Amino acid sequence: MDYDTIFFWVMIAIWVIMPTFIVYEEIMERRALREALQTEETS
Amino acid sequence: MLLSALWMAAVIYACELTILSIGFTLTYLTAKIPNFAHGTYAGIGIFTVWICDRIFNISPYYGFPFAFLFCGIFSAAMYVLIINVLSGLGAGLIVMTIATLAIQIFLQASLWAFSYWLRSITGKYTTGFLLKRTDFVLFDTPGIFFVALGCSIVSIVVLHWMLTRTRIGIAMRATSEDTELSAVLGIDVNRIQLFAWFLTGGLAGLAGAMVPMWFASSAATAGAMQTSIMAGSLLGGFTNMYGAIIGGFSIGLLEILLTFQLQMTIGTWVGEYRPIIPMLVLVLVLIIEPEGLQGFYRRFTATKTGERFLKAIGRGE
Amino acid sequence: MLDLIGGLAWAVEGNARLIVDIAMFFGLLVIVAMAINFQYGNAGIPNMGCAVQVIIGGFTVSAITTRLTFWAVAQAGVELLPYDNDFDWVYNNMVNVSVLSNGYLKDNATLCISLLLFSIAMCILLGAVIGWIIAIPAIRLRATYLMVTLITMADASQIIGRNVVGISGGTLGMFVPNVFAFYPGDRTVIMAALTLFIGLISFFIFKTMLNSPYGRLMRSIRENEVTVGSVGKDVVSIRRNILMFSSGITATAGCLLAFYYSFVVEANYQRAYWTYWPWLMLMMGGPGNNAGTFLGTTLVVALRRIIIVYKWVFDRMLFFPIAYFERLLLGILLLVVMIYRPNGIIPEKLLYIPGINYRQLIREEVPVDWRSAPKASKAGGGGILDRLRGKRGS
Repeated sequence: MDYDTIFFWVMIAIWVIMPTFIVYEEIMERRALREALQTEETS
Repeated sequence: MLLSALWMAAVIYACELTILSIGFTLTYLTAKIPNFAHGTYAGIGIFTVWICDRIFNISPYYGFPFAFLFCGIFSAAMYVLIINVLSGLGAGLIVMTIATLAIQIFLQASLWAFSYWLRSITGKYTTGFLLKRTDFVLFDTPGIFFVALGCSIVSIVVLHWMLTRTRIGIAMRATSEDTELSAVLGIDVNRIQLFAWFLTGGLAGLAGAMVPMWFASSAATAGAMQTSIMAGSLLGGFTNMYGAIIGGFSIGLLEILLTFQLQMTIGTWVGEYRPIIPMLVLVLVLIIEPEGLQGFYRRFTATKTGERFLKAIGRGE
Repeated sequence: MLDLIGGLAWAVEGNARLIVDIAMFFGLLVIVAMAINFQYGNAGIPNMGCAVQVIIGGFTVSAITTRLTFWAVAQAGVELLPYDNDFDWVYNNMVNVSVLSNGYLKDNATLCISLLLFSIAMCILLGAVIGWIIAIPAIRLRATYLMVTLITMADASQIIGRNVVGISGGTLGMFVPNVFAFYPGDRTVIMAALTLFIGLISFFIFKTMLNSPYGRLMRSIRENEVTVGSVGKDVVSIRRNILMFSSGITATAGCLLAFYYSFVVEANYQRAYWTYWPWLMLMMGGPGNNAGTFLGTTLVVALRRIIIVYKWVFDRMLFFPIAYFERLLLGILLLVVMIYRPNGIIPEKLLYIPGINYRQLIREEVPVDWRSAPKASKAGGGGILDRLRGKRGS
């Protein structure tokens, strides 16, 4: 089995997962923050 | 020779550090930030003197005023382009300190680039050069000894006179104490700060010009003195100019003499640890008394013996 | 004998090698940059001494792990060359590590993995210790004194590393055992994957610490120390804890670098590389949020690789050696970023702590249960607020 290629693609996968996670979390947080601020304003 | 070579090296190094520490403290007084690029400003002075000797073939002492001028102009330019802009944008102290760090990185790289460019044009060495052979000899001693002592004493006296007797000096002191109040009183804060930065740059250039006359220098020598400058300034109290004199001089003497003594007693390997001596002083001062000798003096005069001491020298009530 | 050193460290070739290299350094720098972001962007501690923390990681590997390996290997019966004094430590190091230790480690996967885990754990521990040590003089003082002290400590650690031969082989450096000797392929690929994985884990660690009441405490210390101290929090010890915690995580970067090269020398851990470049990444991307740090790291790593790959193009354009061009660019970029984009490319936003409604908190006694609050991944703060106000429960 060509372990090198396997791990190479594992590395690429992690390298892609990291920014995806980061961007996803940031967007969710900003959305939640905006909603919390809106409900605070209207309350 | 008047003194042994070791003591002369120590005194010359101490004089250079004194001038540099005074400049550093002056910057801290006017801009409230430690100027990490201060040591590297001296590098401009080093190369001015090199150019005087290797290209124009005149005595390096003629390069001293030009070193003062070029370094001062460069420092003033840095103020106008960067520091003033940042403080106008409302940047905090940390951001401005990082800016001086960035200036240091930039200037150091430029000095190295400049030294390589000079070497490629002129074909002469720009690393590890020493200009001792161009020195004059007085009383069987290299002239730099007297020039270094003379320069530091003259600059201290001139600074003291300027800060206490002239209008611009008093304006500088006022600006450093309370910028807004000085502006209200009609002092042009911008011009005063520009002049202060020019002055500190000039002093750094002067000190840098003295370095290759005794010590082998390259583009990195000046930047390597930064820790010693900060230690000297901190020892005297970051905001006290007269303390900086004592601090800078002591650190200079300490660095060379203590290293030599330890090398004699413990072994030659101690020489490698020479840069750690000012770092240790820095850390110890910060732990024991963060205001340095100035704080120590203040605490001392608050005690009974301190009051008696003040009365004895005629200052107490 | 050479292939025992690296485990075929050049089996991967061409473009794949470049990608692995970039991924490795990206992972390392992102760990350091996120740790700096944790300290400066959130707690207001400008840590200019990250080089010290990284170098401790490297020294742990070279001083402690290597000796442990030698002991374990000797216990198993392999005859090692003597390494008691400084001279033998350096000159017998290559044979000891490459031939003898790696030859033994090749057949012992469990020993290898346990050495790796032990190194990482030891790095975190020693990183925390060094964080405590560098906090002694400076943690009570203002930010500028802190920066001055930390920069000088970074220099001191390099000098000590260079001169005490037993730590990392002095000026010559020394090899460290290859903990992936059992792996039949190229160890750099697996190291890069591991580094990125640890980067992902540290991202989650920092994010969890930030979006918690502790994160709110950190932000409040950054804003106004006096107020926090007046309500009874020990500001100095909180700052020290933050410093120690981040030091531990930063030290793992040094450890991973040591295993990547399988070689430790103090010149690999220079101040400019491990302090100034991560600071540039942080400032460029935006201090205070992880996305900004990531973006800054990506941009800077891409920039540096472009300079390296197109080195000859630049060399023709510039009149000075290309080596100083990177440094010049570092200084100029830092200044430009600070003047034109002081908040970075992605500016900071308010901290979102699930379940906290500040108005309700001020007006009345509201039990705050962040565990039952909707997480950021769900709809947002609407549900809990309605429930608190006693409206329709949903």
